[in-house]
Amino acid sequence: MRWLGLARRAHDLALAHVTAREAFGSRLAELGMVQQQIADNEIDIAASRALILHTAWVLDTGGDAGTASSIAKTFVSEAVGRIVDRAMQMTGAVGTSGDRLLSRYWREVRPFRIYDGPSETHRWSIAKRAVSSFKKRGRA
Amino acid sequence: MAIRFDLEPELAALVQRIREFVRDVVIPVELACKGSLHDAPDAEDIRRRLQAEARAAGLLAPHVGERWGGHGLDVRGQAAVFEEAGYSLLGPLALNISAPDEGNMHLLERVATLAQQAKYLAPLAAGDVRSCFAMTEPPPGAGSDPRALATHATRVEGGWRIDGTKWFITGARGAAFAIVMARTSGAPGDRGGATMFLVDGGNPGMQIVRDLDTLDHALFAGHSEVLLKIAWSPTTRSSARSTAASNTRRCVWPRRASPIACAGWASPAAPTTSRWPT
Repeated sequence: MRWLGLARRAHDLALAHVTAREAFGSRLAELGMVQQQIADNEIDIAASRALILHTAWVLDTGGDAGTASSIAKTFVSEAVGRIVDRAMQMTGAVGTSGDRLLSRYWREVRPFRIYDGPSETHRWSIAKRAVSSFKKRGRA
Repeated sequence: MAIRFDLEPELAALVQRIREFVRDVVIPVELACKGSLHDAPDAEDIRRRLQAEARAAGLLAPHVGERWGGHGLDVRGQAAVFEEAGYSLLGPLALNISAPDEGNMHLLERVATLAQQAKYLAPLAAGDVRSCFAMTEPPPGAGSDPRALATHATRVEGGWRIDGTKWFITGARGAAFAIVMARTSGAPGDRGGATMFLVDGGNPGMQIVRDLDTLDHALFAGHSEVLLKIAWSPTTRSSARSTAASNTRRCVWPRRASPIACAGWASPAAPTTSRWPT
């Protein structure tokens, strides 16, 4: 939730850079490989929000959110890392420096994949539930 | 019936107000400190000033119930509000929805007694104090595997004794109280047996050993290693009960944004007990 907001900020900072900076005869935002990173950030932001909203719906309607929250936590923590990392790539050397907040953000989001259950234990939980559910169903 | 992704008008208006607050009040502070209050000598003053502005704007602790000054948001409402606050690294701090206080408020609101809420939740939600949640331990204690919990609490005459070492305790320095996870039964490696204790920050048995130097700076007061050698005064009212075995692997930290189930927190006075959140 909160880190998704920061990922949006990082993406906006990158957009501000690539729409202003000129190189190779055009704005960076007009280069295909930069566009791919812009699009991938948009996809990760949208997918993260959708998973968060689904988990919120499960919780608000009194459902068992064990699997949904593990899926959301794993995906969003990793997506936020990808988004901020791409934002840094798009912003180039200055993005790694103290002249931009991006370098601060890049450090801040990394521990998200570790605390509140690292990705590994959430994946473990998701997989065990999937196996258990399949065994109950009995067949494909 | 179409799935709805739009926000109801009151929530949309709240999100818009937070967007403007973050833009106009929080981001200038974030830019001035380059996103880090970690080493700022006036960090506490800045926290209080930001939260005073949020309070004046009616945006402080929006997640808690109205009786605690918030908007009583459901999880979906929290998702929208927290995302907007997170647009600045200092937004969650300004709105008093940063870890670990946000999760501790959620926990106290759901499972604490009225007396505990009056003593601990009210000042926390108001931004008058900060808190911490002490679970993680250095090896061989509890990390990702909470069954390894080594800090233990034993009954002594008139109260409890808690012994252990915790680390990566976010916000411990300056916290008015800690929620300490300690083992009241079983041994490290066993499932269950964990109890949460409310420990006042001024307790002489709770000492900060050092502050860890970590990659991140955003969580206020950073992360500390804390030594616990707590003896409860015989005059302290105490009531606790043993905990049933539960699946500790499913433990969810309260600092996380999603709700925790902690219905076992049943004792009427501090120190109190709970099952692991499951």
